[in-house]
Parts: sequence; structure tokens; C-alpha cells
Amino acid sequence: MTLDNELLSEMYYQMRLIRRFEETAEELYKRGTVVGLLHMYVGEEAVATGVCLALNDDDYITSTHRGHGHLIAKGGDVKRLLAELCGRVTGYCRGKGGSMHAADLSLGILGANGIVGGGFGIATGAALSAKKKNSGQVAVCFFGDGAANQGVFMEVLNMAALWKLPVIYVCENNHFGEYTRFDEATVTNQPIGARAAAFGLPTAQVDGNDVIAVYRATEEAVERARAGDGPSFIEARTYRLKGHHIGDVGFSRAYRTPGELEEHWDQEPVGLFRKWLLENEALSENEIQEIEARVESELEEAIDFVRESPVPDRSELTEHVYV
Amino acid sequence: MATEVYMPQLGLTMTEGTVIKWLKMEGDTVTQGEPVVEIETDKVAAEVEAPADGVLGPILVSEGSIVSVGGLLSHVLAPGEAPPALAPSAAEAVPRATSEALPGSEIEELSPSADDNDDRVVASPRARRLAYELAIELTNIEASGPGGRIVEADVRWYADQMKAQSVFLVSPVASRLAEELGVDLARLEGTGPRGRIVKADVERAAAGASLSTPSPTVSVEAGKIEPLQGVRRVVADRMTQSFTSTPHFYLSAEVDAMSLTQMRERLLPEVEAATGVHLTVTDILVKVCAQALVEFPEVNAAWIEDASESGRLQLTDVNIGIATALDEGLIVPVICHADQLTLSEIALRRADLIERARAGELKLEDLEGGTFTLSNLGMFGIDQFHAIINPPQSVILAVGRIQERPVARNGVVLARPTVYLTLSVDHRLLDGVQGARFLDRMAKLLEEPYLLMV
Amino acid sequence: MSETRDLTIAEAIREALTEELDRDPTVFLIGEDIGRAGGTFNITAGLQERFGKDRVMDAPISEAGIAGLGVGAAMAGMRPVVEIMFCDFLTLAMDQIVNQAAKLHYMTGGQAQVPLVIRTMMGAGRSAAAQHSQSLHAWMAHIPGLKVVLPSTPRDAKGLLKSAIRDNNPVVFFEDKMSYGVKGPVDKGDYTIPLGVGDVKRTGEHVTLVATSSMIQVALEAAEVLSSDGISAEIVDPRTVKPLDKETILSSVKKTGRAVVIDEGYLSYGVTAEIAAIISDEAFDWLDAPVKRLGATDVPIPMAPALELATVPSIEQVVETARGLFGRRF
Repeated sequence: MTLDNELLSEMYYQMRLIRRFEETAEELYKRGTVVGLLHMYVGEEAVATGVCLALNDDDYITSTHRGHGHLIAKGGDVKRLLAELCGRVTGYCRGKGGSMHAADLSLGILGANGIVGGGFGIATGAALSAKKKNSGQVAVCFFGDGAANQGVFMEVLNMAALWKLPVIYVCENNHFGEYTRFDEATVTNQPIGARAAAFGLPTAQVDGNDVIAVYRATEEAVERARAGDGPSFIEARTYRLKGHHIGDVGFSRAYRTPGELEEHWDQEPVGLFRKWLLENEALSENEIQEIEARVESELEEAIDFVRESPVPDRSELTEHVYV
Repeated sequence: MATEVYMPQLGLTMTEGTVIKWLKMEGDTVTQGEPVVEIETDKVAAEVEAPADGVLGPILVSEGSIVSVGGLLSHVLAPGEAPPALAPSAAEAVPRATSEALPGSEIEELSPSADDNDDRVVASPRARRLAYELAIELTNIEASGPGGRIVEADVRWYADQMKAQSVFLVSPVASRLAEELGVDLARLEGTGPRGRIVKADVERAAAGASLSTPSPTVSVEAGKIEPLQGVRRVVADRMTQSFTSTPHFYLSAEVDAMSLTQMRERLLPEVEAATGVHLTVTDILVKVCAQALVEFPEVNAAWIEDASESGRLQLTDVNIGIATALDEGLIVPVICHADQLTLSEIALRRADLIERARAGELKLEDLEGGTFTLSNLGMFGIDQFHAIINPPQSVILAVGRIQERPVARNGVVLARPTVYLTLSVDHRLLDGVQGARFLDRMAKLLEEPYLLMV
Repeated sequence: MSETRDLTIAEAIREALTEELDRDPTVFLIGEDIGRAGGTFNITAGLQERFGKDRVMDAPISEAGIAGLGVGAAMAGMRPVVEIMFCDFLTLAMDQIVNQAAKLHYMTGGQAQVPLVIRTMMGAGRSAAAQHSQSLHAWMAHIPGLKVVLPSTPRDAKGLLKSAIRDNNPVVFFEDKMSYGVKGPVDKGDYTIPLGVGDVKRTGEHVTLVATSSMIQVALEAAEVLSSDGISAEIVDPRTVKPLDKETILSSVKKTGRAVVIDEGYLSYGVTAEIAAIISDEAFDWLDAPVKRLGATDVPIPMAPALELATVPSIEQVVETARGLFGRRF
């Protein structure tokens, strides 16, 4: 697709929305309104945005524990996501899933996942169903550099390649697996993509902070998949600007080198893209501010929505165990 | 916390009571002290009070049932509290040895657990439930289940036995032995307490001993026999016990009643004015008996028998019981310390007791402590009769009607009012001479009442 | 009244799979060696020929991957029937089954459905040793969101498998590997037996034997022996262990007053403990004896037949245990 202004505004809007959503969620967490475990996507917005905007509404994605960005970029409703984080019955999962299990089946979002690598099988299975139905749908499996070390990754790569499934494995290498640096947990003599290449998957390595680069790489993989040519792998290199989870403040300093965090903040993708848009006269400052204002009002709406939303009734406890 | 409502011990000799009427129903709110059920015991009706505030639990014993002292009748529950699961109550009565224990009572046959160190009854929940429904005490049931557990079949078997044997009493051991030996319990006469069939009876029957009674000449239609209850039952039991275990002998005297009747007539208005009560012959008899007992303390005694020893007990108070006939049966209210009362006081007391007896309002203390009993059937046209001693007393005085009878005096036959006094005497406590002296003195006092002044 | 003919459990299962594959295009099978080879136990023989590789898929040895695929395909609108060749291998797929399949419907507030069936094989008796002889259905029954089915007869196997495939919840279907040859009458044509409903396999008066899977056959034989003692045994087959049909079990025990629960899982912390606890709790006042349990001995299952057979509840053990509940009077 041509990168027309509409698409570019959409990109900026999504990235800005994700960034502001995460910051809002962090605020509300500190106030005790948001409850439970939260894993911030700050710094990685370009990956979710770039990938999801290359997909249709009926394409599938599986997400990770760090899943707000994926859900928002895929078209999810921030009101319902925020309500879910606050444990309200109006949330996506009626308050029963929380951040790590947020899903919107109507948009093909097969859920964030609390198990590292939990999305591998699900995404591959969804791709299998697409192939059987001959529907032209594709499935994207988001996972992190840490998950690439789970055994089941290798199992699905094998089967996806064997059966030429329309699945795209997108590895968001954000430099950290929990509190461990990437290079301390994973051999680096080869990129992660080498594992996929070993099974014959076409692989790509992109700058995860460059939304357009991510978008382009995804487009290619999607075309391949829809054409029936099987799975692809994309490694999007980015950087996690916040801690592993929301409480991880002091820790963060411990596993980063001094100055590292500040350095990466200088390269953070939302700001970068804003600059790029202005420099390339793709959008005017006014248009950008309009988008930013729109984002702010959406988030305010979301906060109001949460305020008015009740918590689930006790009777919900035993519902949905079985269909 | 459920509080038990149980059959209370009312009186030293009480071993069981009959449930007469439930005054409250399951679910009724009750306050502590409020009467909950009427029971009958030892010739008196009494009320059992709620032991606590709360709600009455399920009624465990129906009206008409006989329950041992300590037996569970119901519970008082906190509102909303569920009644406790049934287990044999800790207060389950084992027949107690009392001063009136029957000779040769075979207590060990009647309560199998009494000898056990572990007094928990092992029974399956199913058996307990059935026992509860059938109002059977588990301690009576013999266990056949593994590990000595009472199982449902044991309860059913016991219930069937009880049903078949509802006319007579059999001990569980005897019952089982009869089942094993193929002995027909219906043909046996029991030698145990209150006529219970006991093991020895079954063994004897099995050994081919002839039946101790010939086949009944009176045919009994099934279902027509009415077991005795309440006062009548107690009377029947006591009379049987007394008659069969106490060696009675009888002394009779015909006493001139002229002075007696004249005295009565003379004192009638005096007593009426002083007490408002109508002076009777019985009152005078009580006064005279009391005096005689003071003079002859050997007659004021009791025969006491319990598990460890038996013998004579000297009594100190003179408490004279007056045998009184009620619809429900015979009761004996007692005038205590009759020796210390004036005739007016005796009359007053007697009138009060009789009135309350007829109204069914006697308390236990009215019936307790008698040391001597007076039975007057004169008003019913009886000349003379032999009464059965009221155990554990030593004697009973039977008085007939005052009637003009031909009396020979100095060779002449006169018509004089006389009264027959018959003294029944327990030969273990008194011999003929002692009894005779006493009776003679009584006769003298009646014939010459002014001797009472001395 | 439909026609019946005698089939083995294996044949009955194959018939169910065939009929469901025929009936519903979203149904497909996936597992190791199920296609060309027709399955290690020959259950799926002929199915790939008939329905093609697309509907009957041979998978690589990747239990986690296969199970995960099953979850994803189910969420995306298919009805996969995944075979895990020995239930001992469920361990390799535990995350997919326990953390994903079982919970997705609930965690997504009802949005996701996982109409997945996992067929797996249980039971000792062929000297397959400790890692190929377990019966781990208690693990599955422990997890909310899963349904767990244990058929004991050919008729039950066919009807229950059809229900499992049509159920919109994840169902783990345990087949006893030693019982595939058990024969019995099976209705021709389409019929289902509902999940969560038990069955009285033999009526009796004096003791209830609750048994699962192959233990039903053991219980039936034991009942014959007991009848010569004058003990009439009633046999209750739960058929589905989760959700459990408590009512059928309880009304039987309330009638007889005695219960023995027999299952091939390890004795400790298993199905017998759950059922015995339910009986003791809800039929307490009807019990004439304590509730007894028989399960596999708590040892890793040994290979040598002399040892292995001793680990499985036997007819003699059932008879002895049942006898021990009776005194001379019952």
C-alpha cells in the first residue's frame, strides 16, 4: 500500500495512542485504579503499529504479556482495555482476564498471554484453520527475544514450514528478557532469525523503531502468506524503555548500563516518527496536534468510562468456566 | 450451641418418666424456665422447663413414650441452628441401683455397654439414622458389623424383635439367644426385673424345662392388650415388688369406735372454726398413728436394699401417708411431722393435699418421705381388708368402715360402733409381738383418746 | 429402537470419528502416526485414505506444538481432534491444555471458545513400563474448564466421543489401551451420549461399586463372585469424570449403604478420593460402612508382568474389599 498521508496519520495516531495509553495506565496504577500485573510497551510502539496496520481486521494476532500495544494497533477499544485493566465488568474480558489475557475475538486478537511463548501454538493453529478454510487470512505471532528460547517455538516453526501455514512470526527483540539482557540469555553468534531460516522460513531483520520499515517488512510477509507460500519470520529490533513490569523501577537501573536508558529515550520511536513526519512534510504541526488532541480526548473518555463502570458481580465467578 | 432437654431425675427412686403432653412444638421460641413438656413420674405430673432461651428443636420422643432418666427429649437451639446429629446422649440412663433395687436384678443384661471402658457406641450413620427414626436407643442394640459396628440390619432386627415382643420384655441377650436356639419367647415367663425374660429363662426353656405356666385359658386378641402407663404402671410395679418380695403378715383388731365418733362430732365445729376444714376420721387416725409411732419407734423403720447391702433403717421423722384414690390410680400424699401437728393442723394439711391431688397439682415433695401409710376404705363400705405395704415402709394400716356391730360385753350382746384395723407387717423388720403391741396401743388410743394428753 | 451390532471399543471409536468427519467439515484429526499408519493402536486405520491428509494429519513429534495448534485452530473455528499417543505424554503439552485451552473461554470473559478434543490412551498391563502405562485423568479433572471422559463400553465410547467432538469446550477423552478389544452392542447410525451423565451398569442391593474405564469390567466380574456370597452389587459408571454426575452415584449409595470406588489412576490424590469424599459428605447418614477406594499402587509402574499386574486393582481385590464391608447380618 502506498504510504499516503492517511496511512501515515493513522500510524502516528496509533503510536501516539499506545504511548499515551501506557502512560495513563501507569498513572492510574500508581493511584490504585489499575490493578494487577502490567507490562509497559513504551518504546516499542512502532512494531505493533507497523505490523498491525499491514493486516486486515479478520487477520489473527497472538500477543504477549506486553500486549496493550498489539491490541490497540489492531483496532482495539481503549475504553474496554482500560476497564479490563481496572477489573471492571465492562472490560474486554469482564474483568476476568486483566492485562495479560485481554482479547478481542471480533478483531482476530486471540489474546495477550501470560505464558512466555503461549502464543506460538495458538497463532500457528489459527493459521492452520485459515489454510483449511482457504480464507486468505493470515496469523501474526508476536513474541519476544526471551520467548525465542522456548522449545515450542521450534516445534511450530517446523510444522508451519512443513505445512506452509500462513503465519508470520514477529520477534520483538526489545533487548531484555525480564531482568536479563538479551546477550546474557541467548547466543548471539547468529541472529534469532537463523532459527527460523533453519526451517526454511524467509527471514527479515528490521529496525523496530522505524514504523515504516516494520510496515514494509510485514506487507511482504503477509503477501507471501496470502499467496500460499507459507510462513515468514521478522525480527524487529527495538528497546524497552520501561521496566519489565510496572513495579520494576529500581531493578531497571540494575540491569542497564549508566546512560543507556537516556540514550535510548533519545531514539524513542514516537518522537522519532513525529520528527520524520514534520521534516518530510507528510503532516503539519497542526494536523499532528489534532491527532494528539484526539488521543487525549479518547483517553479522557476511557477514564470516564472506567469511573462509571461497575466491578463484576459475584455471580460472574462461576460463569464462563464452560461454554 | 444446642442445649439438651432431657428427662430429669425427680426423686431419688425415679428411673423413668412418661411423656404426657408437649406444650411446645418444634420451631417454637422458648425462654429459659418456660415449661416445654409435661411428664408423669412416680405418681405425680411434672413439667420439664426449657434449659435455655432459643428455639425448640425436633421432638425426639412422642407423647406416651416412657423415657429413662436422662433420656433425650429434644433440644433448645439458637435461631437458625441445625439440630445436632444424633448420637447416644451422654446422659443415657443405665438402670441405677437405688434403695429400691429389685432383688436379683440382672443389670448387666440390660445395658451391654455399661461394663465397657469405651462408652462410645460404634454405629454406622445409616444405623443411627434408623435408630433415631424408630426412637430406639443404640445402647440396647447388639452389633454384628465389622469391627463391632452396629449396622442398619442390627437396628432393624432389634426393632422387629421389639415389635414382636411388645407385650412382654426381653433382654437383648435373651432375645438373641432365643433366636439362635429357636425358643419361642411368647411361651416364656420372665424371671428378670419386672418380669423380663432373661438369658437364664431362655436357657432353661431350651433345656427342655417345662413351662412354668400352663397355656393361658384366656385368649388374648392381638392388639387388645394395653400396656400400663404413668401412675398405674408405677403402682403396679411397686405393688408387685412389694407383694412378691416383702414377707407380709397381718394383724387385725376390732376397735370400739364410740369415743372416736363422739370426739369427732364434738371437735367438728371447733376445727371448722379454726381452719375452715371439715374434720374427718382419717385426721384423727393420723393423729393417733403419729402418737403410736412416737411410742413405738421400732415400727417407724424401713427395709433398705441396694447393690451392696440390705437391712433395717431407723427412721426419725414421723411422716404419715394417706392412701388416696384418683382416676389415674393410687397415690399417697404425705403429712410430714404428723407427730408435731395439732389435729387442726393435720386436718388442714390433709384437706390441702387431697384437694391438690384431685386437681392433679401435687408436687413431688408432697409424696416423698412417707414413713407410714394409712389406708381408709371405710367410706366405700369395706369392713376389713389387708393392704399391701408401701415399700420401703415397715407397715401399712388398713381401716374399714365404722359400723354398728354386735359386740359382747360382760356376757351381753350390745350394738356398738366398731371399726376394724388391720396392720400389714414386714416380717423382716417386725415380728408378731411388736406388731401386736403397736396395734394394741393404737386401739387403746382410739378407744380412750384422752390418753393422748399424756 | 435402532439396530445394534457388536463392535469392539476400537471399532466404535473409529466409527464415531468417521461419522463426525463426514458430518462436519470443521472436524479434523491430528496426531503422531494417526494418518498413514492408522495409529499405534490402529484406531484411525483407513481414515486418512477416506478423508485425505488435510482432514487426518500426521504430525511431527511435537506434543506441545500439536496441542497448541489444536487450541489455535479451535479458537479460529475448527473442531480439531488431537491425539496424544500415551496420556503420559500429556506432560509435554500441559501448558497448552491447562493454561491455554482450559482457561481461554473464562479469561476472555466468554469471547473465545476452544472446541478441542484430546484423545489419549491410559492404562497398564502391557509391560510398557512407567512412562507409558499411567492413567493421569485426575490431573485433567483437577483443572477447571476441562471436561474429562472415560468410556468403558463400545456403545458408550461411540456416543461419548461424538458428544465430545460436538461440545464447545475442551474435552480430554481417555481410552484404555488394554480394552480396545472389548466387544459390545453399538447402535448403528448417529446417536450421542451426553457428557456429565453416569450410568448404572448393573443393579444391586447391598453395595455400590463406582468404577471408571476398564475397572467397569473388573467390577462386573467381581459382582458375579460377590453374588455367590449373597451380596448383590450395584455398579455405577460415571462415564464423565468432570463434570461428575454426583446424583447417580449418591442415589445408588443411599440405596445400598456401602461404596467401593475403583479407578486405575494412582490411589493417592486421585479420582477415587474425590468420589469417596463426595459420598462421605453427601450420603453420610445413609452409610452403613466406611467408603473404600481402590486405585493403582503408588509406585512407578514396573515393567515385569509379575509386578505390573499387581499394581492394577484386580477382581480379587474388589471382592475382598467389598466383602470386608459386611458383618454376618445385612
